[in-house]
Amino acid sequence: MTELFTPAFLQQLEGLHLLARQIARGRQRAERRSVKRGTGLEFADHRPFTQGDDWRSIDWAGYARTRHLFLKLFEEEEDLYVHLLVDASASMQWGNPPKFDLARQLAAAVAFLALAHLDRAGVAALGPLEQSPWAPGRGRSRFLPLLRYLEALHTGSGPMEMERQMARWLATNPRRGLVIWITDAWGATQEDAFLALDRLRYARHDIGVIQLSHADERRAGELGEFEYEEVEGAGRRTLIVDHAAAKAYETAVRDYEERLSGYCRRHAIAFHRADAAQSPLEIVRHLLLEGGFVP
Amino acid sequence: MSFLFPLAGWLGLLGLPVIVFYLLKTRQRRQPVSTLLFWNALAPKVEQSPFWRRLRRWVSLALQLLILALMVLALARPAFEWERTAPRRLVAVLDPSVSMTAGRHQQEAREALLQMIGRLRPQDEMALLEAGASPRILHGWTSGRRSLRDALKEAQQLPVGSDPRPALELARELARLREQAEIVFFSDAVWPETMEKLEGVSLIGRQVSEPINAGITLFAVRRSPVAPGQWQLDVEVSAPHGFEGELELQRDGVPHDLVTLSVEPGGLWQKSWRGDSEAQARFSGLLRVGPGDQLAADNEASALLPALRRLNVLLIGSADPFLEAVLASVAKVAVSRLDALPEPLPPGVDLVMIRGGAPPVAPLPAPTALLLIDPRESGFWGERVGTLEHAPVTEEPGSSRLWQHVRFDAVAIRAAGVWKPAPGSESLASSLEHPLIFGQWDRSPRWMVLGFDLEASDLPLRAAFPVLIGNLLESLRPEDSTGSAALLPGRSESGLKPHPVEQSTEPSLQGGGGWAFPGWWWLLLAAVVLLVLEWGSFHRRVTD
Repeated sequence: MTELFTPAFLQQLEGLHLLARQIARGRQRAERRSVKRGTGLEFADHRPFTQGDDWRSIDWAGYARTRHLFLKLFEEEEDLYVHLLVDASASMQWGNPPKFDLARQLAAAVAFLALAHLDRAGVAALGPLEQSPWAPGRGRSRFLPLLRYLEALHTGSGPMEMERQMARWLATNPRRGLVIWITDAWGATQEDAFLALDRLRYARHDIGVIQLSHADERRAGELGEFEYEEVEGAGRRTLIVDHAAAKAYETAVRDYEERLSGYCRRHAIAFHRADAAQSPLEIVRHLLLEGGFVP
Repeated sequence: MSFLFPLAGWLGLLGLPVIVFYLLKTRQRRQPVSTLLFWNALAPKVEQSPFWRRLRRWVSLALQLLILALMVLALARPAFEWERTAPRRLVAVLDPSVSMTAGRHQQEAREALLQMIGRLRPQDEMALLEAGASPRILHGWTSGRRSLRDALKEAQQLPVGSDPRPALELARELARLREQAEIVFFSDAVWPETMEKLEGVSLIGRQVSEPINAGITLFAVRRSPVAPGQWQLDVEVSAPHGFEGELELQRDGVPHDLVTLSVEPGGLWQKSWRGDSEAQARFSGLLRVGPGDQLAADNEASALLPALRRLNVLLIGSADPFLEAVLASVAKVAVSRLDALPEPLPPGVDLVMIRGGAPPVAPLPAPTALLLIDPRESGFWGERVGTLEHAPVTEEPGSSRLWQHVRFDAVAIRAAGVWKPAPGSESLASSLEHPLIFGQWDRSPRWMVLGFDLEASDLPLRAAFPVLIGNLLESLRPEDSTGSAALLPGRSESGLKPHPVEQSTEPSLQGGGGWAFPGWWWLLLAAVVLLVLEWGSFHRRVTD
């Protein structure tokens, strides 16, 4: 394989799969199921019998008690769709190693676990550059082509409008499922990421957010007068940064991150913030233990 | 203002590269960031006004140029007006006498002197003298404060008092080398000699009161000149304010005597001890004083009584019962007689007496002394030119130790040689200008000629004869073999009584004022302060 997905990395994914199975057994049942009613074994609800309904589903015991015909509804057991949305904006190329590399490794790891769980996993890159998504599919045989797809992804320059990119992806009518958004959450504005999450919520997806950032991004860096140039090409700004300004910067970043985590907590969105210098497998191990990210 | 090194002004051209580098450096640096999301939000607070931005650059450049200018000025060694004021020249004389150790006097004098050294300006000069037994220049004229402080460390404390007059005379000689030089004398005014007026000298640290003190002022032991086996110890205690206490006397560390003293104010206490001993002995005295006693140096004393050494006398020639009887009567003398002078001379012989034998052709090597009694021939001692009959002693020897208690006025000499003594020799007794006794006895090699035969005179029958022989033998003993005296401060120093002194100048510790540092030093200091300011602003990135 390549430097991005080394043999050692792939080998360790197997270990993560075993860990995922142990955790799933511990919970007795899957935490994420389709909300569609159908022919599964799990009872879901009753509803009045109407013409054309399957009479085999009539609850005869209920009829005996109430003299009204009701149908028993069962949960339909179907494949879970796991959509992995990778932020492909220019800011994801920041740092060493670049956040984009880590994002792709995380996407590969989560996709591996989904495919191993016989769920369907798909990948889409959200960024200024249009790149065709990897349609959700099932089976381990899709994993290697998925890795090649991830390797071929790249970031694009230009302003990243998260809400608009999210709207474009939702316009492709993805099946409802688990959406894991791997991003640095640095949008065009401080509201951008929240609006993008709103759109996901309105589409009734289960959501998980993995925020990646480098430590030097959360600090003002060297003091002095600099012409700060954004890598996404959104503009330049000349500033004199002294100790007070540096402290204000760090406070603003911390406030934004706390606001983001608070939003996710409020809306039952799984959220995990990781340092981009961490190992991807270590992050996935954390995700498994926290729950909510992995099928 | 003038400059001592104006060529340093060319270093001002360094300002050009400073300006060039500054203009190059003030270009803004570009810093890529992953997002401007937060900087955009903070921008209204962080952005500076364009006026301040322009101003701070010029402030920084002005600071750097000012620092350079100050450093160039400092290198040019400017002479400011306040530096041109009359320099002060001081000759400091330090009294090292033992009375300065009473109380805190010595420490206070040194502190005052150090204070004066510390106040010296660059243009001021000082010379440092020590008023010891012989005055010592600790440091000649200098402006270096450090070297003066180092020189002061070499000043030594004397165990006795010292006369400051030679030192003050030397200080006046030094003061004549500089215009308007002042002499400052750090002393308690307790001197062995009276000085009522200090002409042109400022006295600092004069004792204002008479501290209470009692001390041993004499502690000496000596052997008797006529009976060397006997010794005498003399002790004197002085107490200007009176004293009642004890004096403990020890001999070789063993208590010898304990005396209770009672001295009236201004009085002296004296006592002598006598004994008989040929062996060496060390005597020490301890005066038990009260808590108010100021001087510790005079409370103890020690003196050594040397052992009595045996003298070896060699008689050459025919037997002389009178001479041998006299020699045998002197203590610690071993006498032997030979017919002729042996060659070489046996070691350890102190005196060779030749009577009738062949005298040597040259004086005997030191320390052996030679006494020739009526030599018949001429030799290194002189030339015999004739014979003198019935020679009365008309010129007697002086009253030196050798001739103490020796009288020749009644001695009858029937016959004596007429001698022309060798050049450099001294005539000790003569008859009508004819030397009867001559030689050199006060320096090596010692020799003496008795120009007449003992049998041709009645000298052996006179009391002068054994006394002369005794004196002759005792003079062969070393000077320090008869006794010693303890080194003590003395009556005036132990008395701690300051002399009333009339001064022609007022004492002053003031130096040149607060400007104790040269102008270039202040310029350099200002440059360093500005450098710190510029560094601080650079560190805060306010003027970068």
